[in-house]
Amino acid sequence: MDFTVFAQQIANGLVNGMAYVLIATGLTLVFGVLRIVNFAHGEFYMLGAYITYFVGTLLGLDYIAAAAISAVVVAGLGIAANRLIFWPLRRDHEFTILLSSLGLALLIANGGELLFGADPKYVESPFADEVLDIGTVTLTQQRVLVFAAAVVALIAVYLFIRYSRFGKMMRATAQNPNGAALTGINIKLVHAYTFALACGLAALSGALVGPTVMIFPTIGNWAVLKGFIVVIMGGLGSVTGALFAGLLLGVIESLGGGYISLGFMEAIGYAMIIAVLLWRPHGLFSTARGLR
Amino acid sequence: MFGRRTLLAAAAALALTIPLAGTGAHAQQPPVRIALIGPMSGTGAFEGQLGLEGAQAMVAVINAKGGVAGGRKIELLTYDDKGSPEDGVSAAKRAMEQDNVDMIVGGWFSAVALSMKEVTRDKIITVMTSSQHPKVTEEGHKYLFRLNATSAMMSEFYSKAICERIKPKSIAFMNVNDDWGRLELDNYTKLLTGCGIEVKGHEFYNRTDTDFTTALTKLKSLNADAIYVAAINTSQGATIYRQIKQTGYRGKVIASAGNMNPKLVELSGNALEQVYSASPFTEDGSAPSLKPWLEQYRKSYKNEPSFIAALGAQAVQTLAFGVEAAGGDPRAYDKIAAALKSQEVPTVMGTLRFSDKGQANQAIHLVQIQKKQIVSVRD
Amino acid sequence: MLKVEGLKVSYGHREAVHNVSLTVEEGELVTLVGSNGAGKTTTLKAISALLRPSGGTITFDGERIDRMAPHQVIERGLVHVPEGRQLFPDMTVLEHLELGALRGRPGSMGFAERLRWVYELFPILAERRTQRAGTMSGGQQQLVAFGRGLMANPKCLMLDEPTLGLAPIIVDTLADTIKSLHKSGITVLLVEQRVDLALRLADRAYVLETGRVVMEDAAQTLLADPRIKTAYLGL
Repeated sequence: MDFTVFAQQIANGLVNGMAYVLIATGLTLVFGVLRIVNFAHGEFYMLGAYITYFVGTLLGLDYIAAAAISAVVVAGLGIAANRLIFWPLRRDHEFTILLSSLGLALLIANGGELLFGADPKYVESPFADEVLDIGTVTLTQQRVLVFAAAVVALIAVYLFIRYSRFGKMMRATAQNPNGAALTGINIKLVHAYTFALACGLAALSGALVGPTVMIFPTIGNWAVLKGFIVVIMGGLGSVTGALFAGLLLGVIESLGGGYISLGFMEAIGYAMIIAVLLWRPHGLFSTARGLR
Repeated sequence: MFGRRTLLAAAAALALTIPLAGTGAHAQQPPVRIALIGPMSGTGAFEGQLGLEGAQAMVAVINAKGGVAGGRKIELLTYDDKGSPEDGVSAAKRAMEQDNVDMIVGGWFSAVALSMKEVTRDKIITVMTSSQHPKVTEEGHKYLFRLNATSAMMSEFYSKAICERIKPKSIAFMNVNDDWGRLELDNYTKLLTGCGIEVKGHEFYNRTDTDFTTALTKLKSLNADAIYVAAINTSQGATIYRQIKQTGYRGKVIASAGNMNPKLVELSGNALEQVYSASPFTEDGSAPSLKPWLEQYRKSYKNEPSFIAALGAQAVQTLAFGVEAAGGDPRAYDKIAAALKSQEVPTVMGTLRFSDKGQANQAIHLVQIQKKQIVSVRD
Repeated sequence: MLKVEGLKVSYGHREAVHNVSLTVEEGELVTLVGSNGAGKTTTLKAISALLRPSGGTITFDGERIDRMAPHQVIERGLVHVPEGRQLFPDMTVLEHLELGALRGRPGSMGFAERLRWVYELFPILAERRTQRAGTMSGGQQQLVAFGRGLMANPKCLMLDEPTLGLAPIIVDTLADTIKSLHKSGITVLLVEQRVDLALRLADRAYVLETGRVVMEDAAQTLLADPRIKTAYLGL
């Protein structure tokens, strides 16, 4: 076996995997705290990529600023979506909420096609074509940035959930919503900001991954699919689970595609879900309820 | 971007109101109703849009001159096949049975063309556009025509150019995993091996993939002199060309024939510089109908005129020519088919001749990307 | 201080509380007794805004609270220590106490002082401050819930089944604590299945039956009432 190629594939897999983790973290937070299976999560990823593109091209801001603005704007959109759709439905049947999130996904995707056009676009980044050689491994600066920024974002999210007052409120709400309400936690506020955080993370992943590929209005499907594979594998509501499952999926896809067949790559995700669920029905890092 | 959709809607609305608004003798004549079935949503949506724009622009040109056969305007009805054979078939059925259209333009993707032709052949004049799969016209159906060169015709021309002009010592393939992509591999492996180029290997990527680093890492490690990329989808193509450079590959890159378009060049940045392709469409062609169409297209749409758009225009021209030759009756299918198979059809991409099986002899040119322009390479 | 008038609460189409009216005066210890399903817990949940009443009014310190969110009720000094403790299993004791203070009524005591006060009342919580609540025994968990409620600096405490499932010795300690909190000036509304204990602690009592108040009197009187004895004390 050629070690150079092997190392390169591992590196490719870790970068892709870290992007999956970033997407899945928001999904798992929303499930953990709001108990919503949010099919529209991928659409916020799409919006993140597009807003980065438009802030860059129309306002002429540099890539980093555009990505930051995009994350903030999409977080705001998240607050609006939650206020208009999910908060009013919070006492409804799970199935109603599920369908509404699906409806929201279609609405944003079709709206995106109308507003942004169906043609693919490219998010310019100064790091996209700059190649870095790390030992025998070749990565673009952008891909290193995807990994590094995701790591920083995830550490920040972890510390926030673990130690900040709001993070504690989120965990409490996730673990026992009634108990949280009776403790004086403003549930509405927790829902709003958790949804905003999740959407901001989705947008950040869109902004980071954007320059490594092309963007078009239906990329959200891809994002939410990867996100769900990771979240189901890692355990619904588990942030640590998402981290391990995401990296695992990235590396296995890359090695499977590299050494077995590319056609197999897509199937690997589903195969992993089935395998994990057979072995541990609640995912790798299952928590009966609540954030970890 | 918003503007284009609005324009399309406005154009469609306009096309619909023309027969109602007109007065006088010519207005009594019903329009020739053509169904354009293409991928209007999903991953092929951009290609579908380009084709539609090309066709709309040609319809506008023809209608501005008074239509066909002494005053019959052309009306274009749009259907979405979502790039899927099932949706293509149901769209064709809807067009024929519910909307009672006169003729059909479709078949942007081979898979859709192959399924759809089973519903439309022998029943209605159908012009297949960008599909390159030989099977579309292999059997020969009486009312079926196909514009694009088959992959065999393309590869015959292009392999010669690769062997004689580009001259790599060895080559590796990066092909989409579908009927066309697999056919490309077979064709070029045979043809390029024939002129002494060593084929080092290949990768098939999936039609839904968005990232290609895994495949390209493998291809790079083969150390081939050139990588041949067979990609139809513009966004996949652009990502592949960029990622080839990003993996640190420094060899030649050869783009598959018939799949070079201005959007791809724009999206690929510098990654396409000096890359070759083969295309029936060049903006510097000499067909008389090219200029008015280019002007109309640029006036109406933001996109740059492309091969796909030119195919849309060509399809409309072919049908208009057929109706004209049949004396103005769009339902005189036998007459139209006979005329198309026996006469030369002037189009934006030069004069077409259809074989008895309905296959056009599209002229192909070697092109290269120079300073982000698609330039034809002439001997 | 707390006044409930004509309260109605429904779960879906089923009305669980039909027409409950009760008052708790400042400084009182009032108990709500009745068999399972009489609507005691539902009444408390409606007062603390966990459930939205379908009819009636609830006022606290002269202010309508029946359209508020739970945290707004807590801000006004009315704190509900719920049945079944409702803790956060993966969070530490200290985290529970911190969260409890979050929306607390601003009072003379700062966070540190309140924490010291709760630790003095329940020394075990100080000892176990870094332990996760889910790993504690039932009695300890009850103290965490109690402590969390006290961190909000309540004017009025609503205790729902505080002794449920606890060992007798802990029940006694808890009863003493309730008594001393009441003495220190906190108004208490107590729901308790140990009717004898509740009546001994309370000044007044309401008897609930299938979502209605059927009797209301001084605790001592009810304790002596033979009907109560047969119906609820099993004597």
